[in-house]
Amino acid sequence: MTGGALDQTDGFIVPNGRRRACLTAAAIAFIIGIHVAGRIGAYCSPLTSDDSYIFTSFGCRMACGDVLYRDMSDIKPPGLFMVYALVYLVAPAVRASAAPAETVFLLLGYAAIYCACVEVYSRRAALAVTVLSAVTINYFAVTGVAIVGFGVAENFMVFPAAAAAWMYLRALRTGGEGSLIACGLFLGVDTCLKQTALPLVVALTVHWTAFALLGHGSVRRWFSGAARMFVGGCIGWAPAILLMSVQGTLVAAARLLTSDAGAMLQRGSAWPDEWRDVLPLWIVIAWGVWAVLNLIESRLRRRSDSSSVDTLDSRPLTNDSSITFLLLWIGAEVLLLWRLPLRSPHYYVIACVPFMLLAGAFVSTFGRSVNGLAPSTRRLSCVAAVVLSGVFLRPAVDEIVPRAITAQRNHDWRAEKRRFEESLRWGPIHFGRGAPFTSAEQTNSPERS
Amino acid sequence: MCCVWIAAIVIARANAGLATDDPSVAMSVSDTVVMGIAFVGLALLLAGALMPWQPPRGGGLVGSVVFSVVASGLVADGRVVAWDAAAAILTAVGALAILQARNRWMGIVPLGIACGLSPLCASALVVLLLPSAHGRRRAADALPVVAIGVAVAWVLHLTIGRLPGAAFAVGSDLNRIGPQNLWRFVAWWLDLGMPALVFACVAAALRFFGDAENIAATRSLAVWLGINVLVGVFLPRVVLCHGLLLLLPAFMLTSSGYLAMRRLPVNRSHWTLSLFSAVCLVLPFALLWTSLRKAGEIAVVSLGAL
Repeated sequence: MTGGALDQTDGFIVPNGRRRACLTAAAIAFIIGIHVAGRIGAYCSPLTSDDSYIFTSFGCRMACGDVLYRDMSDIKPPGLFMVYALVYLVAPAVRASAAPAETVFLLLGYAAIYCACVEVYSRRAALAVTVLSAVTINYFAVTGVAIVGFGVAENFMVFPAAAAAWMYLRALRTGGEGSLIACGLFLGVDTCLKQTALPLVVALTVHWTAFALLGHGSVRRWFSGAARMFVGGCIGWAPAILLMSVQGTLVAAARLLTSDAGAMLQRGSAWPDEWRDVLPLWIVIAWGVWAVLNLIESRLRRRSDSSSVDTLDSRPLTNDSSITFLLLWIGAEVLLLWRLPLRSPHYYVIACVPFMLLAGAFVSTFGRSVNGLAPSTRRLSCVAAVVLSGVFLRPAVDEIVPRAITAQRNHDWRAEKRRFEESLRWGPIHFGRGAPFTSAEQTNSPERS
Repeated sequence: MCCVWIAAIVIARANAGLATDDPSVAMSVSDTVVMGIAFVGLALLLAGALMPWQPPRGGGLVGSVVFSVVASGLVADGRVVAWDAAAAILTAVGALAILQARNRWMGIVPLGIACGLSPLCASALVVLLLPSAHGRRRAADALPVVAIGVAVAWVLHLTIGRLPGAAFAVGSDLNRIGPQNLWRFVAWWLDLGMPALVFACVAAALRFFGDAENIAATRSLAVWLGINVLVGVFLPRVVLCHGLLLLLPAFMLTSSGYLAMRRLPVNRSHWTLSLFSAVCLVLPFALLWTSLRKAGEIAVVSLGAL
């Protein structure tokens, strides 16, 4: 009796029919379960930060006819407020109306991470990375110490960021530049949601320049690709620019989003204080160390046996160009984290995306290294790897679920309703450089990021 | 060695109970004796020493060691009561007898008594009910015995007015079912029972892929463990007190999980894979540290009480 055929490309088990369906269903059920727990924990968070109320109430006021960057303003781009405005055009004016929109974006985000991984790695590796991403994203959303992890832009950015990476990786793989327009489009949407999409823009720009100019020596190709991404980005920004132009707030928005927002960078650092702050990344780091050792071993083996052919087993990482891009992205995210205004895990929600995508390379490396083993040993190795990873991930899940249960139990729904209604009555209000200030009256809202 | 360790921790726990005014920690002499005998018996059973028909296996020793250490952690944590331990050994004897297709009454009678001692043992009935050549007949024989066992225990409980086993605390625990307690047990279980669960997960997963040594037995134990996990999640308050019973199938799967993991690739020419195998094999034993620490703490308290 066998558990299934074996994939000759990456060495993973390909369970046949019913088993494969069972495994996929179990993974999806786990993702949905952890997502629900994460959303409950973030929504009912006992933290008193105003962010989710600000964003949702601004969206609600926009749906009622108020003008962003005139009646109320923030140093954030208009994307998130526009999404909420669309939500409140059809949904009742309560804070909970934002939850379905956020869930849709996050589920699309998981799907985009899966698709981006499939573009470079195998489906099994992609599924593993998606499960890991769901745990990581929700962990960072739930374990906030300063900012509530619900309704913030980072949760909405996962989808466009991962989708932009997916399209870019596809363009690298196929050599076609058609995907670059879609990449630019998602990049536009991403930057329209928050300026913290900048690391992805930098990574894409640097990588594309190096890839086209240094790798292929073609200025024409570089220009063509860059132009396509720019056009896509313009399409992504078009609704926001159109709205701001019609409302006459374009100049005010430009000042807020650039100089005012830039001033925030000098106020602190989002760098984690201790290892526990990035608990779900431990498993990525552990697999990363193993993959690097595997890479060294492969190099040494090839050097000692120069006559051997380059087999799948000896190729350490999947696609050097993709890996370079992901490393660049990680580097840019790390640099930005260093300069962000306060230490809050909600920033890590978007910063962890390239780490997750890179984790697929480590998983694939393991898959290839067990490729030459007997089928039963290969199955055993894969099972042991999953169990081992589960042991490492358990502390993160153990943080998410109890926090969600406790937060839900202690949540004061009436106070939330009162607070949201109060935020709708703020009148002219402007956020950005510390405490909020109004033209009509001062509010006592706490300082925010 | 395992028997000495677990007996020592039970005695230490009883001594520590004497040194405190907390009635939930105190243990009577009879409780201590019952718990000690049950744990030593379980350790021997899992090692394969008490059952002459059980084939000698290298995994038996590991199963026994893992059980002894985890159980000592459970005892030290104050989560196990004497009648749970008695119910556990009866359940283990019954389940093993049935799984090894011996005289069915040798399995059914202990299971019936165990179900009488604790309703949480009822999940072990899946080893009887899962489809097999004799499954239907065994089930037809077993259910009346189990029903009689439960009925006798309840009659004793109602007439004597004192619990024959702490299992009936389930009645008062049922009102605590609900999301507010969800995960409490799971978190605790995962802390202490993780080493056994790691081995059990490997064994169950290999069964899923059809690679298990004894497919029918592993499947029954895996289903039994799955039911216990669900019980653990949805009846958290109950299992906080009765975790040993719910971890039992994991202990019984430990030896096959360990034997499977010994087959992980070890190759001098592929040392990164060997490193992975070594980490996989060492990790469950490293996870025993949590239980060892708890047991050590109770031992220190006990020595202080002396």
